[in-house]
Amino acid sequence: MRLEFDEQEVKKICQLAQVKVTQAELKQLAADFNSIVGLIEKMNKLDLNGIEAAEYIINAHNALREDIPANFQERETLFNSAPAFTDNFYEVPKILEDSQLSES
Amino acid sequence: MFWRTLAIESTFFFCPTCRIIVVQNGRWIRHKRTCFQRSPLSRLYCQTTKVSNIVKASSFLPSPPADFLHRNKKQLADVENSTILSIAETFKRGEWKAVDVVIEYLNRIHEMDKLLGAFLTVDAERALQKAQLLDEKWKNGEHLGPLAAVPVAVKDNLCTKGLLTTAGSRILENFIPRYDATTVSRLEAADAIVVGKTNMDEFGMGSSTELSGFHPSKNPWDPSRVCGGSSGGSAAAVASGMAPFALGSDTGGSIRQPASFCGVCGLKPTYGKVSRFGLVAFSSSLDTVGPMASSVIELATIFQVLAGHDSMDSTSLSDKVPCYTDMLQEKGALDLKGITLGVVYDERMLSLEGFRNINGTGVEDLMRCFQESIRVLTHLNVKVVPISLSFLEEALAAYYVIAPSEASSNLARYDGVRFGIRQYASHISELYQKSRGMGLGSEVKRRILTGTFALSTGYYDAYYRKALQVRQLISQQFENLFQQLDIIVCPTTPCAAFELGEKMEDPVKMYMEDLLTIPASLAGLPAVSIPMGFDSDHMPLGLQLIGNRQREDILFRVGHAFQLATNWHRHRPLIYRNYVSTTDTTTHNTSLPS
Repeated sequence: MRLEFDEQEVKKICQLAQVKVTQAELKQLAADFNSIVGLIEKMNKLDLNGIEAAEYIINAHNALREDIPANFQERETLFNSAPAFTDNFYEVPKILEDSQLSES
Repeated sequence: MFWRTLAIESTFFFCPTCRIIVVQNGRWIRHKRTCFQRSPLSRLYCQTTKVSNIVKASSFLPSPPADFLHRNKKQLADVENSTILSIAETFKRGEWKAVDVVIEYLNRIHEMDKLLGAFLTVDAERALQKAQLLDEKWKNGEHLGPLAAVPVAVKDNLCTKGLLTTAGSRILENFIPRYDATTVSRLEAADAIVVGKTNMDEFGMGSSTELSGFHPSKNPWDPSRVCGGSSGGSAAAVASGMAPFALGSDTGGSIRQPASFCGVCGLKPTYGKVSRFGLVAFSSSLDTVGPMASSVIELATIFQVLAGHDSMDSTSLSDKVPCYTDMLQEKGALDLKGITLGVVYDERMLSLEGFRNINGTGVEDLMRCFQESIRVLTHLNVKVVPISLSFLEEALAAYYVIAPSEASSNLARYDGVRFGIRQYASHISELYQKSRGMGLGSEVKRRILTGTFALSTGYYDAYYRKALQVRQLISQQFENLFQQLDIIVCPTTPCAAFELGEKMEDPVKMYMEDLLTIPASLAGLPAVSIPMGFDSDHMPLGLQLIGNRQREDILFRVGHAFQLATNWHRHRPLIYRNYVSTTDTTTHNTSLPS
């Protein structure tokens, strides 16, 4: 399964990842993607029948602790580093709208 | 002593400065040019205020006596005296003050970092305050930690309270954390002194430190070359003597590869052995934090402080941490009887891309040094078994699916809402897209997009799930190997440090640098890189030792014995030797005649 990337496909992925790229970057990314897919398809050389997907690499147990709330002392200073903060809320631009704003 | 038999007609020259034997006329001429002849490296101009003036202006410290800089420089310059253990011991004995030690290292940073660019942030005030605190503690006879008065450089993706932490990225260029990473707080508790944050590839994505959002770092052995990545700044700081040790992070080789390129030692611990709390996450199932220093015994000392369970990291292992330093002091350190070494020797491996530098000559030097190292270890009574790691390329492929996939999830938090930089936008999506588009670098974008693609509908099974299967296969193969072996040995990198800009055109070329370091990362195994010699351009080469899970003790034992029998780890680059040999400490201009 040899994939070829064109700019439209890369644009779709940018939309999913919520990253804005310029036209020039888009071109470069398409070329890079083709290169990278060439690398990752080397995995197909191996015979993976009967091998489980490794979800964990350590003998992980659920790391639990006592249900006792702890206080984080520097709560105020956390908000000081926010770009826009008022009345215990992070300020952001419009979220709800009739139509989605797209980049095209 | 350990040189292979040369043909009768070869001529060889002994270089007294760096104590290597150079064969053949052409290489000797090139070597002379870079070695003991005065080079542009030695012309260091000091335009801004020297550290001693900062100290004079500080209200809480007394003025330094006229000759203290010179005295400390000469004493600390000796390779033996600037190890962690000797600094801590000499301080505890009362011969040096912590403030003097810190001033000397701040001076070094001031002189050398203009050229190398290893540091992003240096906080002289804070370091001097901590040093003064330690001097008070010593005066009052209070208990002092094992790393007392030892300056440390911390990689910029580890949170330090009140100190700018950018992870090498513009999107965090104004981020000041409100807490210390567990590793940093453990170092502080051991009385180490954080002097600054080092440069790195953005978010740990890269193998050269050229992909930092700020500036590339240069290799102290040759500033026209990279220092490796992503912990390149840390490696450059240790190699040039700007810090006795440093903290780095390793996801796919980010401690071992720069350690190899800069001729220092770097340890990637077993996954889960050192807490990841406070580490800016890149790939959560692969990230580890580890030390970089000039020798294995120092690595063991630092690791003793760092390792152990942390309740703030849910992947932290709760196994007891043995006393590594005691184990190394035991008798018979030079006798490695009973240890079985698996030597990776694969003809097919040598033909892989990445094993040739632009001149096509890289492999001979690498294999020469590698074979010499195996010979040294054989002399130390180790049992050698040749093995083959047949899955190197497939491991690389799997890593470059898993790591970007996890990164695409971990880096979703950089959206301009709660911290970091924000771009003006009229809608929330636009805010995310513009902030991320502007703040994240090209390699980071590439990896986020690769990961998003690999995890997306229709491709998840073909790429991400398959990569996890490959990972399982590799873990199983290592498990089988470690049933008969104690340690696996191979070169750390396919070649020595390459030139700046050489691998920037095709991202896959850069990815190939991690060929030999990735398998240990995928399997979560501990691995250490130690210097094993130099190539014909006098650039360092590294030897990688991979151990079984939680068997850092064997790595330390073999590495320490190797360093007792050789002296590659004691070599220092020209920039350091020039700094030390400058006798005039009062003038700003330290240029030397060409």
